[in-house]
Amino acid sequence: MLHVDEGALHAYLDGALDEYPAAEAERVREHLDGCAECAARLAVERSIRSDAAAMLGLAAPDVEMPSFEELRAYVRTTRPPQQAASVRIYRLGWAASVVLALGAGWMVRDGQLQPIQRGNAGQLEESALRPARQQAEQGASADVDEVAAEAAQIVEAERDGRRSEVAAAGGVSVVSAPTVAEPPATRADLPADVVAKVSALDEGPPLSVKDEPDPSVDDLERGVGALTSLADADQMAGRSADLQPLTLEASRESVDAIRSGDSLGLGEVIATAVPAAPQDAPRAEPNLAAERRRAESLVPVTSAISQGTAATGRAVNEYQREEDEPSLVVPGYPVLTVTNLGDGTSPLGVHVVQSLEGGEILELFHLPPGVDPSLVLPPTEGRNEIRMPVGEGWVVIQGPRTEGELRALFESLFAEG
Amino acid sequence: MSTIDWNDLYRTTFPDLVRFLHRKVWDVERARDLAQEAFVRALQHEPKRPRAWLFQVAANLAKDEARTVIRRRKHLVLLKGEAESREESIKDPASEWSEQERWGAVRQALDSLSEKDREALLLWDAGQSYTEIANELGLAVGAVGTTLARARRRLADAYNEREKANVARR
Repeated sequence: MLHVDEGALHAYLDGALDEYPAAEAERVREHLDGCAECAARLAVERSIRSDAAAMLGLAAPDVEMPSFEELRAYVRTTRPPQQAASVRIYRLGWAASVVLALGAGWMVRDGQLQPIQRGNAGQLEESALRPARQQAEQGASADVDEVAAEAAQIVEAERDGRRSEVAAAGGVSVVSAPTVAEPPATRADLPADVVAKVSALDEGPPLSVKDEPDPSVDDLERGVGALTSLADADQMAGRSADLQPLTLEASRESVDAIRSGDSLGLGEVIATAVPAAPQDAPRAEPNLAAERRRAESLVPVTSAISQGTAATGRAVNEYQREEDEPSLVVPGYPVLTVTNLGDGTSPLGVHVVQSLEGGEILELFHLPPGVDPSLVLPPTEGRNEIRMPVGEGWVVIQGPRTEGELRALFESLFAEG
Repeated sequence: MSTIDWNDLYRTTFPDLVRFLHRKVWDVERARDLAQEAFVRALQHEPKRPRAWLFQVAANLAKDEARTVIRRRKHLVLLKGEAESREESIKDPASEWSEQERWGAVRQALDSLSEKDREALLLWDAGQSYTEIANELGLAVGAVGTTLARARRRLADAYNEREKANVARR
């Protein structure tokens, strides 16, 4: 005779047998009616279940509920500004990236920002207008003309030296690229390949979005914006360390969360860099996946803050850093990853991983004022750490070097050029 | 068009959500705030299966709590003086202590469970069905009972061990 397992006993006690296949549920019920041994076991499990429930009850707080109408009113009053603000910020970010990426040739595909292949432009152009039309049909607020105009506005502001105004207004600051020509005012003025890229962004990566929550056009914009807003950091780091332009990566799960609104959308987006190949050597295809794996396998999970989400402020500042500000990366060493930490409204800093001689890993944490450096997990065996105050924030450096050597690396962050 | 009775859902689910969150963040006010935040998002998104959605979002919010704690810590420092003077006048230290001790004991017992066992138990305690728990945790429905059985036994054992140790100390 096959006795009832303890899982089924608990399902019986929990009144969950109906969620089992009917035949199995029936078997359990019949068996318990006629088996003294299982009836005794059931009594034991009932007691355990009861004890556990009582224990959990000890930690049950008194719940004071705000009225539903209050909550609904709150949603009504806060939703439009919240959405408008976040979408605007992100849209500015990616729109600017689109315009500024002309020289670099970026596109978003499979959740990554990738160099665009020349041969793809025409193919992309074919579908250029479809997403915009779909959005218009859905009554969505996104409009390619509007985006382009906003991007142009930012570039104009940049040229006029009004960067601080843009930043203060909540817009994502822009790294000026020397390849940027006159900013186009509307979509009609945009070069065809930019229109194609805008459309590619609109289409978004082919993600397996969960059944719910339903992704909306705004969410999609936020997701794409989250990815592309890091492009500024990429370009900055690339310039600092003489690297090739970087690749953005985000897990499918992460982008799903962005699109569903479960996340502010900037988390776990990794900017990956590879050293530029010498000009006279045959250009090898960079193995980004291998670099990334290597970084992941060697870099310890550094406490909760490394799970943080991205904020571009620090990185953009870095590009136009003040004299007494440190560089984000140690000059001369390849950058493996640049991860911005924070929730988009309260940046927690930047985590940089670089490769030292022999492939050893160097980690830098740039922590802004108010972030406790002890949040960074201590270094693993064989590695040292220094915590250096910078302004009102901190730079924490960890690596397989003596503290003196780490200090020398810290000082090199302030080297000119 | 949505046919969900949000008012009813709020009334029946909010307390469960707060309890669920409280056992993750161990701060009643914070749990309440996070539960409200989950509802705000639900009202904005109007998901098709709102109850399961709410718990999923709540679990994510609790995971993000570590980051929020950093900001909160700063805030708490700023408010420390004010809070200290208020506590003196309005709180009964004995009842506060026993509540904290109780929560500490349960928290320690919950911490001794594996993440999946703990999550299953908290979801069940918050009123989720076996099917909902199975979906949330990626389990077969038939495995939920086994998970709960193990979680309940471990919780009871851990709690009783702690109590025995306390008695021995006294």
